[in-house]
Amino acid sequence: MIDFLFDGMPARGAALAIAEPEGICDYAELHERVLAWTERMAFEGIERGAVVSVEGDYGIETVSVFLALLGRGAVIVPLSRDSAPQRDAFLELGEVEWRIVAGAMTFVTPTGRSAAHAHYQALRTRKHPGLVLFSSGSTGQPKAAVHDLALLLKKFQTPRHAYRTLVFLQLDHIGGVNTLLYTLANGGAVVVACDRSPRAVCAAIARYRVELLPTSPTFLNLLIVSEETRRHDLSSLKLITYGTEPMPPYTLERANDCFPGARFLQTYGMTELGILRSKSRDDRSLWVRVGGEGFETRVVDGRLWIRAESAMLGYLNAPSPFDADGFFDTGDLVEVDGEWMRFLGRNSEIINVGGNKVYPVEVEAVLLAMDNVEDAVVHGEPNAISGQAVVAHLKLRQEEALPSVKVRLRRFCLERLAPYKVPTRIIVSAEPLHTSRYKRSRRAGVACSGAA
Amino acid sequence: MVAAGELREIVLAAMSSANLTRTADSQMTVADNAPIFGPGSPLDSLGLVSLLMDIEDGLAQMGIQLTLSDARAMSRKRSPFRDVPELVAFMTELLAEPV
Repeated sequence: MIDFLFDGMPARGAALAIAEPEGICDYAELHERVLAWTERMAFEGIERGAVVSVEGDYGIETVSVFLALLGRGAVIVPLSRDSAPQRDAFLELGEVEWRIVAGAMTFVTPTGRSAAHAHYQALRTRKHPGLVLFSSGSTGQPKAAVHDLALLLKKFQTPRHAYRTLVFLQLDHIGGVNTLLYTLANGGAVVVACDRSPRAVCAAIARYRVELLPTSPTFLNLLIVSEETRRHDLSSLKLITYGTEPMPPYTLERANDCFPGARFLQTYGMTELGILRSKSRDDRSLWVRVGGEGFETRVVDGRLWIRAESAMLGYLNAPSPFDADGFFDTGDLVEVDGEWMRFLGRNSEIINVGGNKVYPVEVEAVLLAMDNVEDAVVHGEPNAISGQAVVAHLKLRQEEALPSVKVRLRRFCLERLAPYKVPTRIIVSAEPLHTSRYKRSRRAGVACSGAA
Repeated sequence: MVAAGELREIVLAAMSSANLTRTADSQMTVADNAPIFGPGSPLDSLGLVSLLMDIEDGLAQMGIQLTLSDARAMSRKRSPFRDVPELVAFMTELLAEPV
């Protein structure tokens, strides 16, 4: 059931499997490392069903440990540097029994805990490996989603195109796990950049002739604005995928102009469900078809519900979010045209101005097209007169006095948006407006937060 | 304590600035006794929200944090937003409150 992932490795021999800033690793070496880790786990006493954290960023060591744990049938709790501030809480919440902390020396330590949650028991009964991912949720406590990794892996048994892929999201994000499994299942290579700055990403693409760049609209916007794309040879890129948030039309237009040789594909996934197969109507279209084998979708009152064979078992710390038929309310608002869908934003992010709905992404798209605007984030704030008011946070390319920005912004927006959509409060920020995962952060009053 | 004259200047400056983004036939009169919201003013409620926020920004530049569009303002019999003198009086009143 999961053997296909390992069986192909020796035969792929000297083909590049992982490139990280400190070195590269081919399939033969990766296979050896996984075997060595499997032996060490047996020696340490990490058995099937054990709940084990893998702490560290994407790289040869973390991937080897991840794969060895997968083969051993353990429950993997990946924790990247992104989640460092919440590490202790996540170890506790995940009932982690063993910690594997990757670094120059990789440490394996038992925590003394014993994981007895019903979802863990279910995985042990099935004799399936597991995966725990933490969803930030826009409000309140992070939720721990428990996946059956055998079910998540199932879709990768169908061979697909092998790409050299830049990993953008970490192993503790459903997108990062999906990229890893897709790439290794098909004999592609994962390329890790030194960091997620536009410069480092472009340098890694050029150095390893990367073909697939999975990213977010926010990062694509920054990439274009940074002009790093002109300083590196990025002609190897064949496919750019974007997800995690709605794409502003202006960013998609500019991205197409910036990478004329690449195709663009919108992706869609949820921590709770896995990543769906998707197809964009065309490179410049925001209309997308999502679903594919193992996924069913339905739209109720404009909200997307999904039933997935690969759905999580449930949360460790919250009631089951599935309805009686097994459908999950994604909270994403969509417009439907036959089999095509267009994402409008999160239900929780809609701003209600005097009874009129405002989608932040629509306003952000206009602001991003303004002169001197590097990035823009829009959210609502309570207002005694209009219920809520539209607030725009702007990061400018060059310094500009607030009164001038305000006048320009209002004139620009009034020509392109209904008056109630025009931001009334305008805040110029010197800080980045996105999260560490390059997703626009729309929490009121918080321009940049750690979770995504 | 900020003088009423200074507060009036902030209000008038915000009105002048708002006029820059308003059409020729919806210009507000910028004067000491001019109406703001209600009879004789072209301002709609969205325009009012926007103007009040600009005034709040003007106050913030002087180091004063004040929220003008709060529930109390809305529940008064006589609107503090009807004209410039009323708004200045309302701001003075809010500023006089202990923090």
